[in-house]
Amino acid sequence: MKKFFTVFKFEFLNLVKSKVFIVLSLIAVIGIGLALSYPRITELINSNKGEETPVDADMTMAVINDSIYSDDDMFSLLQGALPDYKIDKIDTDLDGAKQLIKDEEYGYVIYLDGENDYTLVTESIGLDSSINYRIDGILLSNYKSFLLANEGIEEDRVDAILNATMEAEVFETGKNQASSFSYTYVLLMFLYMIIIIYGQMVATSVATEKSSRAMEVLVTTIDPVRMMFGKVLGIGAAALCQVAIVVGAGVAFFNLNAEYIAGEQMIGTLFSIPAETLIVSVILIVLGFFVYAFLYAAVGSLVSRIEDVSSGVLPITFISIGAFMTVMFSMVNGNLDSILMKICTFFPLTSPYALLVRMSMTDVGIWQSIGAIGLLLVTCIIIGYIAAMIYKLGVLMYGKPPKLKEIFKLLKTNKKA
Amino acid sequence: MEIQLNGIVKTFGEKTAVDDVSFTAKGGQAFGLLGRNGAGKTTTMRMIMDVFKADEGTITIDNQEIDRKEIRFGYLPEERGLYPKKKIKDQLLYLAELNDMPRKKALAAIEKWLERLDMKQHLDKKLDTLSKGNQQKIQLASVLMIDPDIIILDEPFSGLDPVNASVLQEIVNEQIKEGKIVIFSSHQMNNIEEVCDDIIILDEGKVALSGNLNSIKNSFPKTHIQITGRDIAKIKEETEKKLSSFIKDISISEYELDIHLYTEKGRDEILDIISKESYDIDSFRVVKPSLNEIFIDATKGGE
Repeated sequence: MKKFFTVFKFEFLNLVKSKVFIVLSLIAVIGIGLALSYPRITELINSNKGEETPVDADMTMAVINDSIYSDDDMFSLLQGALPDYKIDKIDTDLDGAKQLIKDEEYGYVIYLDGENDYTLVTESIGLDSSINYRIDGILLSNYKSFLLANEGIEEDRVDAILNATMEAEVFETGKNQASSFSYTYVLLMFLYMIIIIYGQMVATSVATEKSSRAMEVLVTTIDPVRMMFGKVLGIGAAALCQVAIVVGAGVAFFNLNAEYIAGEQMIGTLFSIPAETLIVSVILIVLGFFVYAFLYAAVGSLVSRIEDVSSGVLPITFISIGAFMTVMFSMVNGNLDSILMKICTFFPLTSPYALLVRMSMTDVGIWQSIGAIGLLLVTCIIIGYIAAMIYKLGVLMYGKPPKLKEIFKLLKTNKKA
Repeated sequence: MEIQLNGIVKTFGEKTAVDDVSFTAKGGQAFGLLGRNGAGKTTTMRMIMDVFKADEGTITIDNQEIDRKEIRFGYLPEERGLYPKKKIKDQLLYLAELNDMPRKKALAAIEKWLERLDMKQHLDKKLDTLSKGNQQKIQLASVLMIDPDIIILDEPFSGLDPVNASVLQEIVNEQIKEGKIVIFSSHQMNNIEEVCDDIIILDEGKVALSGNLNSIKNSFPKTHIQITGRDIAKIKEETEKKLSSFIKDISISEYELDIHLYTEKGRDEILDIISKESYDIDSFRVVKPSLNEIFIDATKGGE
């Protein structure tokens, strides 16, 4: 046990003191700091500038009116409905309008024609812009009023009809996928990054000891099984340490900028993860890491040269990426209770990803969760055991990495002995 | 203190790496574990250090099971290896800690041995910044710093310049004097011949030859005769004429005549000739085989 801790400490300190770890942590902390301070920084800059902010070309609009409605009516209608835009009346044709956009005189030109015909000219509509829908809505409701008025309905009644609303209330018995999406996404990313970055680090660390032949001396002082567990746990602890730094930075910057971020709902939900979701996520991240790290350790013990590590770990990395992608797509599509996702919940190499998302965003049910976690735990122990056997065999085996079939054959004969 | 191996067998898959090997290595003596590449030396060493369990047979110290808490092994592997990218001090401390050494004691031992090997100035450097010979010395320090009871050195002289080789020789002699068990493995027979009292030669996992080096030499037939003196040319002529059926090979240099015989009987015949003709000679001696010759003979010259 003492030697296990010696290895654990050595691997942990090695990693925590390494440049990669320090730089990665710094980048994460600075990135989070900037992201969470962004509202505060922009507000500071804006308040310094005061009223002098020049009009952004994107926020300007020109109206060309060839419709049956009067120029003044249309102008006041649009300006009234879009107070954040600076709107001019101009007189040109469609080609002239296109030229104005090219010359960046205006952000948008609206060409009105006939009763219900219009053309919107702009350089491009931004991904998050809804201006075309807004203009459409304004003009449509104007057209509807016109039609209703033509039917002889009084002006008051027209407004009432067009502005009629429903008294609506949504009652969800399950979890709100929209509000849990952001933090689930972050938790999923944590799981993915830890497995990819730190799992591969386990493989590289084992292969380094092997290729540098330090292993030859190490195995004479400590049995390989203890060595492997010390290494995996040491690197795992360093990974947790890094997560703690990132989360700590997040919480600190969030609190520091609380009053400025208050309006940003997306960020708000990130810091309101329900406790049970958080606890189960931590369990899944830890178990998920170990399942993969043991596999990575076994692969690392089978290759003889550092150059072979990246190709050796490829199958494992593919499984991890595949699981991550499958879960991500289901998450984005809101299709979390499909047969595929249910299978993924119970298959140990995908279950950390699938269960994390499902229990966070839908109601998986306590027994399904416990069952999946239990299965994951049992698999983790079995994979740990097999990995230790392979490790024991692999660490002193040099030359071409053996095929899967050969490994099992050797494990079998070794068992008998 | 002595370590006994008794009927050790180890198989990997279908290959028997070590087949019924027994020997005893005594404290205060150097023991030579010899054999060609793949003869089973490294496997034997690893079984001594409990890296593998033997399939059959026992390994004991003073007829007791080896207690790894009591007995420390210092191992210098043939393929030297420590962490290339780590500070020398850090990795030596790690190895010492894995050998249950308290930190303070370990630091003192590291300093002592690096000083002795003239490496102290490199304590805070990364290993791969050192030359190959110096890296070897660091590795040697890692073996000695834990004050091992049993020292196992696999090809310790390879890669060392003559000065460092003699430093190593000196250190090994000191360790032997302290009563430690030193097990040598080497292809360089001259080094083994100088240091080792008892040897074992393995061939394809089996014992080809074992015992006290001197007794082994004496047990070889006395068929190599060396004569010096004024009349060696005449002796050559005479023996070639009269004893051609006994002679396997004969050669002469300015000072000495070397005769290899088929059987020991030829020796008396040669003595007869010399005394009958009253040839003037300075010396007549039976040359013992060198370890190199014994090794080649025992391993059938690589067949």
